[in-house]
Amino acid sequence: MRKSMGFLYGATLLIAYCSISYELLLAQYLSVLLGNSIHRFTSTLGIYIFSLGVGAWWAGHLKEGGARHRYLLRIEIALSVLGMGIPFYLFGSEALIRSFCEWKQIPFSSGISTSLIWVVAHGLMVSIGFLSGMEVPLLMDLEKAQGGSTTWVLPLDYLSSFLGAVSFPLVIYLGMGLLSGSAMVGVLNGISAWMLSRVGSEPVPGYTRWGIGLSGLGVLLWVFEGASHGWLMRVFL
Amino acid sequence: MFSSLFLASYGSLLFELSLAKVFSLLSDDGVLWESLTIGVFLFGIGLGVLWGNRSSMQSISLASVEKYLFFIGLGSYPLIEFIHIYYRIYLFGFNAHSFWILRGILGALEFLPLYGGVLTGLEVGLLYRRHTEISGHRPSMFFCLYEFGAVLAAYTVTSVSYLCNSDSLPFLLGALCHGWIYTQMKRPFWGLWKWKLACLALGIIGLEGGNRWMEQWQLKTFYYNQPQVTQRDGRVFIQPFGLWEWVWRQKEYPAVERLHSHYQVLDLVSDTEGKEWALYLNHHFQLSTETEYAYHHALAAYPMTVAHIAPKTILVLGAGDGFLVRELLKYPSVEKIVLVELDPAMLEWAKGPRFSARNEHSLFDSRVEVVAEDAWWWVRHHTERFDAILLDFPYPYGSDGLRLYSTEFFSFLRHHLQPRGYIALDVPLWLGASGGSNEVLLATLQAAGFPHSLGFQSGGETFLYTGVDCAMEPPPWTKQDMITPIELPSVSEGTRGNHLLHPRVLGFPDRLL
Repeated sequence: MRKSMGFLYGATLLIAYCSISYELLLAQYLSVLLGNSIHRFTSTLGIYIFSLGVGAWWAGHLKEGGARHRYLLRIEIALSVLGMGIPFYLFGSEALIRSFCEWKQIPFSSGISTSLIWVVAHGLMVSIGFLSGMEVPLLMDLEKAQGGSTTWVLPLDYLSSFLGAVSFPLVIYLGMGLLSGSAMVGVLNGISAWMLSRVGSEPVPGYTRWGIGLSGLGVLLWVFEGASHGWLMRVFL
Repeated sequence: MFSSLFLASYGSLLFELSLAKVFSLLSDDGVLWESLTIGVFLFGIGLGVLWGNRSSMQSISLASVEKYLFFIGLGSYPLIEFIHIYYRIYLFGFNAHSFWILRGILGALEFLPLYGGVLTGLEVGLLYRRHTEISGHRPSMFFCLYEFGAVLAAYTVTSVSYLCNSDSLPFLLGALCHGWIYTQMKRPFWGLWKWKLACLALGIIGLEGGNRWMEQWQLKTFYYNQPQVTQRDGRVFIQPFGLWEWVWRQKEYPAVERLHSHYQVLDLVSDTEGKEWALYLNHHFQLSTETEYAYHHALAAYPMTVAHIAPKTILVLGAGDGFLVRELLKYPSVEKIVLVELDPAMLEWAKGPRFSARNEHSLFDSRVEVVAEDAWWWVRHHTERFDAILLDFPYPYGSDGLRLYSTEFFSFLRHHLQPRGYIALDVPLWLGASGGSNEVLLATLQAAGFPHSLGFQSGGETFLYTGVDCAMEPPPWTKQDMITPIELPSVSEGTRGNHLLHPRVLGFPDRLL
């Protein structure tokens, strides 16, 4: 039981770190794609938090009982995939939209390509925010189901968010770079999925392999950051 | 219950975001201080929630927490301004030590978001308990409502600063929210307390007036009360004046005209006679009417001389004040200038009477096409080619604005150059006592396909000239022009440039804040 709660709280720390890191990463990526970094930070924060709220509300509509544990695992896996893929998704979509507009001879001044890029970029942000918003209510339910009397999930969530916010400008933004940062955060989400699959009296089958596999993929992306960066810039430029 | 939830999160986030904004303005490093402030705030919330779970804290009332949040919201802005004034008078000295002292002071002031976060954490715990008592264990609805308040706060901070031209009003709005919840806890809304709430709101409006006075005192201290010896009316002044003397002496100096735009803070600082003035963006010096001619003339004229071309089409990025365009329009070969400026407020000032008298109405010239757009976005989505591209952005001393000095951005610019075209930009090529020689920027240019660059200076300002296949031989120096070439450092093997997805700070100059 203690080991199970340990996995739960460890996963909470990782999940909270990843959630704040996604928001800060997205703000930087969107300022690259859409320009205007000063405004971008505030509007990204606003839309992301709105999506968190919608996700939290939706979590209340999910099936009760053991199914919520599985939902949480699926959310972590989805976030791991999305998180690692943020740069590829954004820059790839932007290149596709640009090519489409050139093929259809749609002028840039019409605003159609800008609008499409905006929709795609914010669609990703809303998706990540929505999934992240479901996490804390589901974690609190899981903690209650495991017999936790005092909720530690909430304070750990905030404490880990602090670590994420402080480490972002120095470790991720100026240190690792955005690409490696995205890969790292995806790895952490994969690890959190693995840890959550160990919560409870028996590990949840199937999800352990997913968690390990995604973490491995993230590590590969991290290691081959140079090649990924070169490919992305060729697509982007 | 629902309104309290919403107002609680709205007020708390208003407080945190306003703090982050003020800190990033004072330090000129938005990425670091916004991330740090939100992080410390979240840490405080975590501590507050943990502390609130302890049985010894079960008796603490929501009303008490709201009261403390109310007072911290009211007092934070004047406290920060006062401490900054003290720093500028007694601790600032135009050297690298001052920069670290300021960072230390702002780091110490992080106790404000920490304290606010702890109180917010206590508030969250108490509100959740009340929510559970009323509607059962439903964390999803609780967080949903809490997040919606936070969303509105994010948009309020930028909108209020822009619409009301004030940094302090969001603090007071946040305090008002907590004050409202306090009155709700103590008494129901209907009844005598309705009038007391009205008095509260009026009191806050009065406080905003006090904050505006405080802001002017801080701005005058920043711009006028600097280490210097001045002479006026036959009297010699040795500055900075001490704190208490400055309180009454600052009335002798003209008010600093401040404008909050969506993108930056613009300050117009006049001399005591009101004849000359200077423009600052986010506290960074941009131009002064006394010295701007030498700067803009050098940036316009020298690259043309080196390149041996008479450019017909010129792209100007930044320089929304119109002075650079004024110099370029003096050349008869120029047929078209496209000016891309991010901030419409800057363009509005540039077209106004004060600037137009100096820039000779350059932005109204038929050859000039003015575009209010992000330079990155414009360059990325247009294909027009130019004979010359001139950059006049605020230099990114910290991690903000690195995007416009990245390998990828310069690669885009390369595709906008005509054959034998050139790029010129204002760059601090020597970085003072803190060392460094801007190798990073040179490495960035090389990675972008500009293997060779030339440096030149005029009146203490330094510039870079570069291109792909343009001439690179500096002309013979003449005393008349006072524009001299300067030797650039060689880029060390393995120096990594500044890339879009892997940014690198462009040297680390002595800070002037």
